Order: sequence, then structure tokens, then C-alpha cells
Amino acid sequence: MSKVSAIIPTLWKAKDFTDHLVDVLIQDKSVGEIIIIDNAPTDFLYNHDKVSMFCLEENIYVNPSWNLGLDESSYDKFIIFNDDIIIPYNFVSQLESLLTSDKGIIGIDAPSVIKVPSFDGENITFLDRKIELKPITNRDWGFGIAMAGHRNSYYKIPENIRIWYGDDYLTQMNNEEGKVNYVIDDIPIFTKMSATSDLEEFSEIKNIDTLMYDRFVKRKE
Amino acid sequence: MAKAKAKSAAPKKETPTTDETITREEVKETKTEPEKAPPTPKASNVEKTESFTAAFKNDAHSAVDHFLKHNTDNPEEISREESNAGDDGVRVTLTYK
Repeated sequence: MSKVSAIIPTLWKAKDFTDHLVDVLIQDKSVGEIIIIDNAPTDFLYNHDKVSMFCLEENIYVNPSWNLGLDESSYDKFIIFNDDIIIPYNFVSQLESLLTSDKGIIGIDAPSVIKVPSFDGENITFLDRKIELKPITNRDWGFGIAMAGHRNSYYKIPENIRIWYGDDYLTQMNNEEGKVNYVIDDIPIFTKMSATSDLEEFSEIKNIDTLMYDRFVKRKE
Repeated sequence: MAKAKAKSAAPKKETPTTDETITREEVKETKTEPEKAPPTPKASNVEKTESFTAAFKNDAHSAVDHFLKHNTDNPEEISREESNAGDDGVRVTLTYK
């Protein structure tokens, strides 16, 4: 059976969400491994055979974390998660067969992203229906909180784009390869939105990311 | 088809051996039984909230109106609730589907 590598960069800013996310993935039979890119100097340990924790001495930020997770992953299919979301149980099992090399990146549809102030067990559900995809031409808000695909649809994000625009880069590169990107239709994903990326300390990096991504886009034009 | 595992062992954090290293807390999984969780609803059927804050009440409501009018997903308003936002003025919380 084909399996999926799940990758979660974290700074442990929403640990109750992350704990539950890891539990959901451990119990999902389609998840072959869970790779946690641990960017915090003090943090926690998941002691389970499926879980690999890459404990970094300093924060390498989210896009390089995605690159590292893909580099270290063992399966041909991947899914990258924000650490502050609630997905249904069985989510990856329902998604796995859709992660084919002829597709681009599959993300989350903006209306399906539900912002919540804190972790709430009422939002824990079991996905017992098939996932349907909608093709997209442009990435919308919320797309990158969970992104999946085949390894052949992942393009290493340039090192100077560290926090923002990683999902833009991936969707654009797939478009250029003639692949269609998709969103998952009508499956609720609960999130403590931007628990990490809204931190004041990252505003300067956002400016640099914007500059670097603009340069990348202009080079392509 | 799985790619060959490149690493022989997961690079878990080694057990601290000096005073300067960090003690790590092991996380206990919740062990929820997945099948006992309720079925996942459609996202479009889940009530959502969005808050809009402005110095004046009318401006906060105008922001809500703008959100509803210009959202291409055609949200359905369920309710609005006003609350005091302190120095920021008035907060209007919209509940919609």
C-alpha cells in the first residue's frame, strides 16, 4: 500500500492543536510517517514509531522547513500541515488516492477554513465520505494551511523566501509545468489562524520575502 | 511506491546529558477512537464568526455589510452581536454560514 509522508513545522505556539493533529495522523493508516520540523529551542517529544522529530538549533522558518521535510521524507506522496489546525480523522486516507503526479498542489479552499479562538473538542470529527477537488487558477487565502501532492509536484522553495509565498511558489511552478492545482472542497479545517506567522518578530522577514518573491515573479515574466 | 528510507533511525533529540541541554517533555497521545467521533459536516454547513472593530458602531456594521456583499462565497448571515472593544471602539461579531 502506498503511503503518505506528513510534515509539520512547528514553534509550539498552539500545542494543543499540534498534539491533536499528531494523534489524528498516528491513527490514520495512510500516513506512513510524521516528520516534525521542530524550530523551537524548548519543546516536546512525541514518542511513537511513526514520528521523526528534527530538532533544530535555531528557527529555519517555515518554507525551509517544508524543503527539509520533503528532503527527509520516505514516501512519494506528501502532505504539509500548519501546526495550529484541526483536521478530521481519516483525512489523509480519503485524500491519498488523489495525490497523483499529474496534478499540481492540492490545498484548502478559503471558505472551508474556519477560524477558532482556541482548541475545542467539539470540532473533532471523522471523515466518512470521499474528498472532492476543485481546480483553481490562483491561490486564495488559507490555501497553504494544509498542502498535499506527489513528490514530483514539489519544487524546492528558494532559501531567501522563508515564511511567506511558499505556497505561491509551489502553485506557480506547477502551473508552469502545465499542471492544475486544486483545493479540497467543503471539508472544514479549523485553525487558530496565524498563531505563529502574525508574530511581530517576523514582520521584517515578511518584507524580505515579498521583495524576493517579487523578483522571482519578475524574472519569470 | 515508497522511496527507500534514507535514514536508518529517526533523528530524535538525544537525551540531555549536560546541565545546558534542554529537558524535553514527552507528549501523551489522546488515544481518541476515531470512528466514535461524529461524521465531518460540510464546511458550508458550519457556522463561522468574523469580528469587525471600528471607532464608531455604524462603521463596524458597514464593515460587516462590506464583507457580506463582496464575499464571493455568498455567506448567509445568521446573527450580529455588538460588544465593547475598549479604546478601539465597538466590535461587531458576525456569525454566518
